Amino acid sequence: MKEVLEKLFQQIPVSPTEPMEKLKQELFAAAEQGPENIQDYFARAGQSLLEEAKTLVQRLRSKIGDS
Amino acid sequence: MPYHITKIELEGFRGFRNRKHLQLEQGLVIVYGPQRSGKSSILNAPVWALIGSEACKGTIGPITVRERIEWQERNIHAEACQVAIHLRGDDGDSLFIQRGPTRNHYVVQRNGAVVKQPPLGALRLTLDGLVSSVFLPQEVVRAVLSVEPSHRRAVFTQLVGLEDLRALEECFSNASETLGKLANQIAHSIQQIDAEIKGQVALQKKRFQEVSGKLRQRGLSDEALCPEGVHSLVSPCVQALMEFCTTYRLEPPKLPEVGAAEELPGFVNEVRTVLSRLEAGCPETQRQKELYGKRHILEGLLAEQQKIRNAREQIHCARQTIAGQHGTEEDLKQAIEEFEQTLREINEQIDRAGKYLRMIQEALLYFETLPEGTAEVECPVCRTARVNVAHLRLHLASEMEKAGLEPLRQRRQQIERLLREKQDALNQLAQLAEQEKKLEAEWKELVNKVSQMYGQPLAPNESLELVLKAMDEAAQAELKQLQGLLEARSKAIRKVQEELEVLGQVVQLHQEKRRLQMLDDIPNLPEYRALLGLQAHAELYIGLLSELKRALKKEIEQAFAVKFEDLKEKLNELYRRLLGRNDFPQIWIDADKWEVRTSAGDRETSLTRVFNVGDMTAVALCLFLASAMRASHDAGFLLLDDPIQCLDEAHELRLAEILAELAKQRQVVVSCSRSSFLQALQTAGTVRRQVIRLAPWDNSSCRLEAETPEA
Repeated sequence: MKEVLEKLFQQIPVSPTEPMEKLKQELFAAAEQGPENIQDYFARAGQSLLEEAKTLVQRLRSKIGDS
Repeated sequence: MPYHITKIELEGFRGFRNRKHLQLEQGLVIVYGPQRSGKSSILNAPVWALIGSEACKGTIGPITVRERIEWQERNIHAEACQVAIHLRGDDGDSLFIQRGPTRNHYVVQRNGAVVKQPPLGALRLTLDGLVSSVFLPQEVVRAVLSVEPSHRRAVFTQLVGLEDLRALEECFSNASETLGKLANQIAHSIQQIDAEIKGQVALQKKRFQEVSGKLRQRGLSDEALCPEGVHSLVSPCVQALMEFCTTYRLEPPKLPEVGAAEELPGFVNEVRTVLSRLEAGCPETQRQKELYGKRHILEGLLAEQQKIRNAREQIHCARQTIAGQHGTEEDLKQAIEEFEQTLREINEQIDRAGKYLRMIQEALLYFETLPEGTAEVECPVCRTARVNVAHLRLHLASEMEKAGLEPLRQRRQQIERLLREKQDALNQLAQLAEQEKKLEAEWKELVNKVSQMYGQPLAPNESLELVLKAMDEAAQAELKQLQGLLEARSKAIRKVQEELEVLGQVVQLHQEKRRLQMLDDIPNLPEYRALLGLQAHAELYIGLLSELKRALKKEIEQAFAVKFEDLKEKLNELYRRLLGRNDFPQIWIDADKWEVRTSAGDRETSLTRVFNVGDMTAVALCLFLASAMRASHDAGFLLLDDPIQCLDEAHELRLAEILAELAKQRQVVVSCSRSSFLQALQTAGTVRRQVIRLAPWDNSSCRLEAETPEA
């Protein structure tokens, strides 16, 4: 599955930035455990973004209230 | 090295409740029985042993490929579920694969020794290989008939061995959907924040305009908030305060310097404190307080004086009443003595009469002890001999009347009552004297208090009330005089307060302005930028997944084209044999619409749209068989679960021939419920075959009817 992913990445236009390289490596590692892990990887990443967003929203709300 | 199945052991698996051993021969194995007799359970058992929980995953639209979703592997009456398959290789090696009691627990043994290898790996088999070239469940054949292109795409890619890529595609789709929802939540949060900022800005602007309007009414503009403006704002206030101090000869306070609008709140507070202190420390204010206090005391003294007067009046009235009723105190005392003397005399008379009567009563008591009718007694009153008790009673009553005892008693009661009245009156006079004494003391105390307030002793004839009223009038007059002074002072204080109010509004304006600036600045805050960054991050993921999906779709199409090209000749050969028409034009699968197509002359036709159910079933079967013939793994067996479905008897015969021929190269396990197909399989070709007959379902477990190996 990792080979398939590598092949797919070669076909898509992604700039070789540091975060993208990190993402690719994490995805390859997940792919070695099976396709379901890729799904879980994205779900976890998304959830983490959402949690962080919730914290930021709370902080902003307190600032709006204080102003 | 291909392996074929020699034995299947089932216990608690699907239709089989009790432990069952099925010996399988090489060649063609026909599992025959009516519906719900356990044919699919036997066909699925080796698959479950090989892939376990994987057997429950994977769907083609609404249809599961490998098995039904929520697949119940354990028999509903059994406590545990276990399946073992024994396999033998062409070179004599043995393989044992066991799964259970849970889906993820398995054992693999090669030649009796446990090997650390997954079951699929022991046969050099992948999931792709299993679903494309080993096991053909009923659902796959049905899925080819679907009108939904995505369902046909799924089944065709599976049949050519691209199940892994399709599973990856499904994962991408699911991940994309999940991320989309999460990204929407983040975007929604940002929208909410923006709306909250907008709402707050509108509110602040309204407040700002209100305060600004008030200041404009006073001829001030927002420019007053610049340093020069602040100075000009503060000056009138300071000047008014200094004037106040000069007018009232107060020491001017030290006020903080104000150079910027930020210092205004502190200045305003300080001036308010100073003003309050100056106002409280003013002598006129103190005097006013004193006079108010004095008037309060005078009112109390006047009330006290009135109270004593009223009490004296009451005592006087009470004395008058007693004098009217009983005369003077001396008269009362004399009357009491006389009544007491009279009482003593009456008591003596009663005593004497009593003695005489007691004597008669004693005689009466004596007579009553005598027997009834006795007449031997002499009456002590009339001295008549031989009288009875009735006579004695009559004489006793008349004697009591004669003695005058009752009038004496009545007289005594009257004298006693009169005596009590006189004594009560005398006591009342004594109490009144006591009260008068107390009032006298209170009056003296009141006079002392008034003298103290008055500043000199009162003359003996001087009216206390007049003195009190005179003092109150003097206090009132002084207060009136002070009022003028205090009003002038209040006016001066109000002037300072007005200036302070202006400054307060300026402070508020400044605060509103700062709030607005703060709100305007929120989009520049690191938190807000980070939030936008998170949204961009989520969109990056979604974009990446979208790109990956696009690339994977292309990859699947390319891989399908390559795989199908490899299978095309075999597929067409098998299809012509199954149709019984050597002249049938070539068929292929269009990977654009996922339709089965053919060409007749210059015209291409979509067979998916014109073929009947039987023809499409035949296409699916041939694609699977072609794929199986090209396979290079070690699973030397095929599992076909009721493959004929909609084929007619002629097709059944031809399929039986194909399977019999295939069974010469590998073991073919095929299930069916139709006797015509059973007969076709039993007579097709020359191959070793075995029939496993199943009895009808008995509501608890599947049962074998007979196992019939045939030459």
